[in-house]
Amino acid sequence: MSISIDWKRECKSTMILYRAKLNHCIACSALLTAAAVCLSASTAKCDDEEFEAAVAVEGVPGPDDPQMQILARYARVNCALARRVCKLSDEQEQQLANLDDAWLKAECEKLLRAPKEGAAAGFARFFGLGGLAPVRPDAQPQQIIGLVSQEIDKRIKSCLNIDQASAFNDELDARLKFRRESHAEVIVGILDKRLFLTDDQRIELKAAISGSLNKDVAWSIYLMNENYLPTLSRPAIAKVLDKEQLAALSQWRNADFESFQFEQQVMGQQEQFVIEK
Amino acid sequence: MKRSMRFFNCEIFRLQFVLVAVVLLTCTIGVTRQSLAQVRMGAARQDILAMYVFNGIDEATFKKQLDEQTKLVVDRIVKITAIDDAQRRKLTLAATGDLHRFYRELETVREETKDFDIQNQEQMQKVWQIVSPVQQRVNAGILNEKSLFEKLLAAVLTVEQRAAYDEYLRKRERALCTAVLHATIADLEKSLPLTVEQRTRLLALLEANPFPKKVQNGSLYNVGYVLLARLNDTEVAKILDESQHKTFKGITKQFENQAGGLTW
Repeated sequence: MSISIDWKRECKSTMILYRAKLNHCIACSALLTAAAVCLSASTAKCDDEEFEAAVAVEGVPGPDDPQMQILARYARVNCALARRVCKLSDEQEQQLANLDDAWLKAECEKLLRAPKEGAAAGFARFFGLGGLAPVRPDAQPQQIIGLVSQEIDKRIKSCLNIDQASAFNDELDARLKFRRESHAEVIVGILDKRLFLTDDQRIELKAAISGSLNKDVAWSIYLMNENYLPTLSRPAIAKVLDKEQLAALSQWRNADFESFQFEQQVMGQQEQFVIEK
Repeated sequence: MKRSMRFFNCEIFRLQFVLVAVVLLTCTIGVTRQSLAQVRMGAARQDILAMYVFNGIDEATFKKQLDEQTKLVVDRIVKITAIDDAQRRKLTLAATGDLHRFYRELETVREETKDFDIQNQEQMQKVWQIVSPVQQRVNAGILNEKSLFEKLLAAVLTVEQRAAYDEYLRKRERALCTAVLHATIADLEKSLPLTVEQRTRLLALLEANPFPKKVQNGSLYNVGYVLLARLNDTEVAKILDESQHKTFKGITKQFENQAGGLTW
């Protein structure tokens, strides 16, 4: 059985039409249409220049955009950290200086313009496993920020020699570890108010929670709304809490508030104090 | 007949048929589950108390959770203070009394709000005035400082037991303040980079300074910045370089006079 799929992607702003032209048995059509949708979502090479331009205009935030401000702050702070961790030469300083708003905008554009390839990605998304597949980041601002932040760190490291890059990396790892642990500590504190934890439980719970956190939680929101908790790894917690404490966990509702959501709102509204250099 | 048999014997078609059937079945189950969840949510939305007080769950589940929570509190205090059976019975009785009094309050609120239309914004503002005190009580905990349970606890415990309990509460409060302080420093580092050494020294300096004895719930999220703003400027300048120090001052300045809700 020979099957050929001839599809074309037509884009007008956000509207995308997929057409699957099938040359064989009618019974294949349901499967092939599904496959075509998956493949085109993941492997589409867009010929339409109009679409490319529309993405560039609509997707990339401007310099006053909160997302761009978050990225600019991240770049400035991490460059400042690199300066404090390593003794930089004039040439290295010059390279870091190139990491400006224009560079950030170009990085965002690059990410938004490059559709992720791979049929596996499309199939994974089709079956609800989007998290496993590379996704075009234009729909999720936090994804753009995450990806560009990684590029910023890569760029900074590329300006450093091996020893400097290693030292800088250690500092970044230590900072992230401290952040995750501090967020876990706040969650433990909220649990403690109702569960009456022992000293040992506090320590063990902090380790268990920080190990399972993979996002920056909006800890102050949880402090103000003590009926909510981020989604926590139940098996990890179950090892630390006793039966009654575990049963009492059901009184909290799960809601995943990320710090990113609230930083976006604050950006531009309050005076921001960020390190100069 | 023969033709149709050949059609069905086609292995590939059979495989495709099964796959399509699985996909359709999965979709149907998903839609049905979603519809059921929406029906349940809809029922919960009709109940004003479920919406504002029970945290989205039904009354029976809410009361069960409160009963279990109360039992847990009494059990923990028994462990911390090593009280005897007679003391325990008194505490359990007081806690049960507090709960029953709260349940009666809930009935009153339900009665007062039963004729209001939740679609009517004006009416819902009146509902909010009736419901919010009960909601605040739930958030603060039924066995709070004003409860019969707390009053009896103060009367029932011996001096040693009271000291053990106060020590537990002090450590718990301190642990929470420390957690908030650490999270605040983690936030601070989004604007002001610190090396591992600087962070360690800053934490040590903070630990050497007094923490508030009591922090009201509404002021808790600010306590980290308040503690940072209270640090001796000369000591801070020894840890940070000039540019870092300038940024630190800019960030913490607005918290210099913010000590509301904190008892030192």
